[in-house]
Amino acid sequence: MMEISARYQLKLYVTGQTPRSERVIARVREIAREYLPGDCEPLVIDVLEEPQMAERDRILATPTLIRQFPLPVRRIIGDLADRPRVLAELGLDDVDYDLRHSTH
Amino acid sequence: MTTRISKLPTSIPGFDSIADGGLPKGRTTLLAGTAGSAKTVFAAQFLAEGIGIYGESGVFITFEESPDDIRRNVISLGWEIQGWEEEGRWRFVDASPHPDGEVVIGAYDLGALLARIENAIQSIRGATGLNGFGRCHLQPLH
Repeated sequence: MMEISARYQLKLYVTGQTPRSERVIARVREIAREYLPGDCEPLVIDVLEEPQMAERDRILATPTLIRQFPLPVRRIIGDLADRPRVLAELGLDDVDYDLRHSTH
Repeated sequence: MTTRISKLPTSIPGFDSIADGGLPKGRTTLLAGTAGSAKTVFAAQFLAEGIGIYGESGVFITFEESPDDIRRNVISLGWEIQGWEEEGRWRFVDASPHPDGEVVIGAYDLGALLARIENAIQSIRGATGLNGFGRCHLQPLH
């Protein structure tokens, strides 16, 4: 399981420190904590502070979540309220519950 | 007696005379036309003449073609935009579809695009040392 989580790299783009931003940050951190134990702190980027990074990643909408690894890269736009869909998109929906808690 | 709208000359041959001096200054202009009617060329020429003749600077925001495609096409028309890009007088904001694709799950806004445009405008202002003077081109949608 550690190998799987080490391969995961998540990047989250938000605009400003708004309640909406805080909500999506909490959602992504919760998924990371629950499904990707180990070294997988999502990288949170505020486009108002780092517009060059948004430029490089060609971000248009916020929030945008990028799964950098594993490949292929996945880009998800939106507040991620539909958790089962987010998990499916990240490729975490078929992770066995016992397996993902076995490293604790 | 009404005050005339001040115009920004484009230096596109013929256009300024039929448009009574150019485009309305400090306003947004929507350029509409069918595919192949040279909207992109008009826009590129507007920026190129602004830089070449008036010493201004410009931001080109593209929603369809990639900056590479536009660069190639514009260079083939004789405008050396790569040099202008290096000098920070011409900036692309690439809003064309990302090859990795994107899915939408929930509500979103266009905060990132706005931040990128704002950043591009700030950077060309810095490059020319002009205060709030620059041409901004929003690539028309079909």
